[in-house]
Amino acid sequence: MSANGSHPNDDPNWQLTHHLDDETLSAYLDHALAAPVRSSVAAHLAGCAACRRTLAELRAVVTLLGDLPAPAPPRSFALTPAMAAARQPRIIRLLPHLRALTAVAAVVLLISFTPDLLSRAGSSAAGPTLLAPMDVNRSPATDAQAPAASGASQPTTAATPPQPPPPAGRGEAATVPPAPAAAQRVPTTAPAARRAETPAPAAKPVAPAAAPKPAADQIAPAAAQAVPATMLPLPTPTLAPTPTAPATTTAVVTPGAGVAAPRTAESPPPAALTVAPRLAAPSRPAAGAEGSEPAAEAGALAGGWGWWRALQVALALAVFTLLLIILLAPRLTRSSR
Amino acid sequence: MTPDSPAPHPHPRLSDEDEALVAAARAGALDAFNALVARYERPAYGLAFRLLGDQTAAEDVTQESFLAAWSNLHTYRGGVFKSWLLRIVANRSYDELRRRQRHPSDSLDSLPVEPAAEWTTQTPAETPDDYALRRELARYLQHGIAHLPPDQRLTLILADVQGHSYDEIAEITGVNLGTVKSRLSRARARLRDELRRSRELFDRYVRQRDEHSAL
Repeated sequence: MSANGSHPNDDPNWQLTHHLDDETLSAYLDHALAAPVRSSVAAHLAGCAACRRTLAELRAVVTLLGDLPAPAPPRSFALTPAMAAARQPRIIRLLPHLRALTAVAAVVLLISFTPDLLSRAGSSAAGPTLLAPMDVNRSPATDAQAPAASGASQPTTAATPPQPPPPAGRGEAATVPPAPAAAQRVPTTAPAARRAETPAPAAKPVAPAAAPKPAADQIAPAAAQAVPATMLPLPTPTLAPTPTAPATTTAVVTPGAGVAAPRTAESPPPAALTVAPRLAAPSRPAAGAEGSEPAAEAGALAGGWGWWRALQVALALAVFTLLLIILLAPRLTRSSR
Repeated sequence: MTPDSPAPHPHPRLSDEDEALVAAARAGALDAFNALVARYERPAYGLAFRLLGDQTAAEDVTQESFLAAWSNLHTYRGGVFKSWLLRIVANRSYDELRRRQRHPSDSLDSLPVEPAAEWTTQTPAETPDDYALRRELARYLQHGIAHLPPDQRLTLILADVQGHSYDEIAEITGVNLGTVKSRLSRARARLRDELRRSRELFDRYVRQRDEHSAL
């Protein structure tokens, strides 16, 4: 009954010279040998009493083991509700509720963007209520400011979007940093406004761009108005080069407009001047309405839209945190086995 | 794993009922989980009992295993539920065995004591002599099982006592088929050597089995 290293597979004369090892016999017992090996083992067994004996002993062991009675459990192992509650980590129990909460929060968050989308779709914005105070602020200085401001503002407004929460942007477009929608509005108005600016010499064709342009116009002046009104916490250090041009505009347009002012203030003013007043007048009402929206956003810090944006941010953060919890809770609470 | 003798332990696979129960339990239905407990507490307890050798320890391990299964249901990723459950039982039993090794003074006996009641079941086909012979040999068997290394012990119990297939054993123990086969063959060989010590009894038994089965 010695166990040898060689295997039936390797040596055709194997069965004549060796005895089967325990592992082979054990596998043979379980019908776990491949057909060719199995038949060579069977052939060996036919001629080897010793291996037959070994196989019989192994089979006896297996049979004895199989005949051992399965011990009846002395009691039921069912869990009582108390045991179950104690064992389930609270977070896991709350998971279904957390999932529902996340879904609701996400939906609310999405819905909250509807006003922005709607106002973007339509040219008129909501918030006529905020028009009055802004209107009052739009003094004759506005028109004078508008050209320079518009010229100055466009490049800057275009600049601000790329940096969403920019102190510079705060001052300029005053589109509230956390308001992506507002930031989006600026680019749409900025390019349009810039388009208006470049063919400025050809003032007439600017008309189609009148709507967006006034908006851009309004953004700047309104923002400018808002700036002193609300008093921007950040006086935008980036815009160091204060415009030397329009003296009247300097103080107000500096935030954000400063950089471009010197450069652009000169060129467009002539054309812009011609254009602006003409456009400003007739489109003032519409622009006013249009401006109220950005003005509102510009005046975000003054209240009004501020809490709305803050709510959106809070919702987004909440959704994100909930998702993290839902994903990580099972991993973190996994017990040792 | 015993092709000759009648299969005493049918091994159910993950049935549709099981799947439904597991799904309900994962959603928090304790009733569904307890239905699974009722279904599998016998093999679970049996495994713990055979691994540990004493009833009290087996009870504790079994209860702990079901509690752990409940807590960790959310980590169960499919596959045969019974295998997943038995894996928990095996691991907890291992923990208990290791704990015993570290504190041998805790256990009253170095050898696990088997309650005599277990061996009193005589099958209808047996003569009293046959039954006596089997009972005697089973005592040596128990001694031999207790002295197997834990890995071999687990594999042997799963294969020959509970009748699991190689694949199921691989799933429960977390090793590949080759390792399962080698552990099993070594465990069987050791028990055979153990039983050879009572040569006369063993020979008698082997002859008897030979007469009952074809080679």
